[in-house]
Amino acid sequence: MIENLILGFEAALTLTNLLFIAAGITLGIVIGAIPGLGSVTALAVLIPVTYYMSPIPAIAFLVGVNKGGTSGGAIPAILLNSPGTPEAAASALDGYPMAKRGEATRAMKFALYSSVTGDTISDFLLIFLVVPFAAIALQFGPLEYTSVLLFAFALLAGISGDSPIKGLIAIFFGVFLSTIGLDPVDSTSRMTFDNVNLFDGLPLIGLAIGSLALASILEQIFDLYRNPTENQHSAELTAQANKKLPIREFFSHWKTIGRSALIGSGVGMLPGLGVTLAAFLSYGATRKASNDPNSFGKGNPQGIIATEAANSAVVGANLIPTIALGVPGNIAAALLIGAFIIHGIVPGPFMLTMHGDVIYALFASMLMANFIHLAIGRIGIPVWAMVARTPKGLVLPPVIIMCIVGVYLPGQSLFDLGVMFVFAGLGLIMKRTGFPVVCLVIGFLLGSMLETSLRQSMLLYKSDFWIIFESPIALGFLILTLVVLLKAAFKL
Amino acid sequence: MIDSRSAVRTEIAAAFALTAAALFALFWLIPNNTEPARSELDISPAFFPMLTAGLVLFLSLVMLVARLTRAVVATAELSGPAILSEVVVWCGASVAIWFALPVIGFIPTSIAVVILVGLATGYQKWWVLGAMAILFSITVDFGAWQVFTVDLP
Repeated sequence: MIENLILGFEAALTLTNLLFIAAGITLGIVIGAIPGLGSVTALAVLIPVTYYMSPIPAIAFLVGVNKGGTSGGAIPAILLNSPGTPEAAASALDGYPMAKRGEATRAMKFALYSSVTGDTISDFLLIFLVVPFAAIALQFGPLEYTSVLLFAFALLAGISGDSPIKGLIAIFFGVFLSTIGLDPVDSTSRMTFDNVNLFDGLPLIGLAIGSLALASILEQIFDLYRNPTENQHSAELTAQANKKLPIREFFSHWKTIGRSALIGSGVGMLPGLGVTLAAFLSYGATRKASNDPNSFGKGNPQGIIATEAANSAVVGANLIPTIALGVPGNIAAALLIGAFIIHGIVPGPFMLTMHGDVIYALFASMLMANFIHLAIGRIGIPVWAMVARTPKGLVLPPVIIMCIVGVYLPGQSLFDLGVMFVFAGLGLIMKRTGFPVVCLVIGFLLGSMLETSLRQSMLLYKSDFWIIFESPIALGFLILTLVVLLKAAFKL
Repeated sequence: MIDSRSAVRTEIAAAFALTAAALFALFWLIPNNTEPARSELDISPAFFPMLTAGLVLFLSLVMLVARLTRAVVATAELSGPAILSEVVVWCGASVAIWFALPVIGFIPTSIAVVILVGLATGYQKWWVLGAMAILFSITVDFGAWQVFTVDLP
């Protein structure tokens, strides 16, 4: 493994790669710092930019975007009490009171250092655990894959949003949409209406950018139309009394950092559990473990450390199921799967043997990205503060144009643009009616894998479902699926 | 946010719409737009779409019954008419953009979109918006050609 990692560093340590990582982190922080956007929007909008790149800089760039986007959300949370991303909401609880008492820069430094440390711990866990995970996954046949996917769907529906049934509907609707195009076994057309554009199925980029990024922008535009005063950020912070954060002081909170990074990594490893959950779990655990729990919510830096270390630790760990099983840990990982596929790399246990060079170069890029993240994040603190204060009326319109250009660039097809517009409308309806859009996208992304493994299982075992009892792995995951669904049934 | 009664009504409407869509898929869309299996031993290409559409139908009906019979915490953000008005506005805007791009070109469309959306959000410094719209649109068009050699419409 160490040898592979050294080879990975050799492949990744190029000026071009480092520049792409730096660009990705900068763009990620800028987009993450804009309230309402975040790493998912950043990834969705920027994936098309990588079409023309070779796989290593492309994936490294996107990993940089994800890292930057996740930590960037803390900036408006601290400065404006308006989290850039949902996972940064807990950072606002202690970050904003710190900013109000003149410690905004110190709070942002706490957020940045925690984010980078949590991320680094999680990256090491990824590097050490992915091979054993993939080795287990190699024992999986179609039956086991079907049960793992069903478990991932149940888990995703159970915890995303307030209503599991809405999550399940969104997932199976996404899976249904994935069946449009040529049949994976017979290559006969299904629901294509003889339209050549649909033979390869609905375009992933159009669907993902439309339903995730553009729908979110539209929601904010309509909200601003109803309440234009949100456009002005009136929060004026007091003159900064204390900007300094000695590194020794930061690491004096090592227990909180370690606990939060492990919570974030644990959550990241399980498919479907979100970054937001990791942030709040970690915040709660830190508060519980503290000698002075009443100081939380009033400007205790441990609140920022707990949130930022945990939510950034999800970034690396969620690549464990992504690489080992091909099942994304969360929506950002789902988008990264899309990017892998675009670059000819099929995620799953064979990824390490077939594309080991790219994967270890990716690991090396992730470790280097943490140092670059630290440098860019630290130097750019005054700039990010300006970005976070830019009125949304100036920020949102160009993002719409970026969505249009992002979808048009790869295929130069107005059809793809049409798909994006349709799914932006659908995403808007889903958001307004409380259906989780994330479930739709993950269902669409994993739908063809579920279909293939289910049909292979049926053909292999001649539709004899009792065979499940001969596979302990499949049986175990199906029992877990039933447990999750039964628990969810009480809050339909 | 809306009151819980309106939220439940919105969710009932959504469940109805989903049920209707699933029935449409099961009884017209899939049977008329998929080919039969090549041999009796094969699994029909329609099997999996039918299975997923069937699951959507079942879950929509469960959701409908749950909303009609039990006091559930509805999570809809807006009432049905408000959502409908947003969708109608978006349909109009997206159709206009889709037709404008090949007819009048990327730069004028982009400038119009940036200015109109900016004004719709309540941003009042129109000269800042106008200057940004022009500069941004020209830069993106130029960048797409220089970096990706793609000529935007």
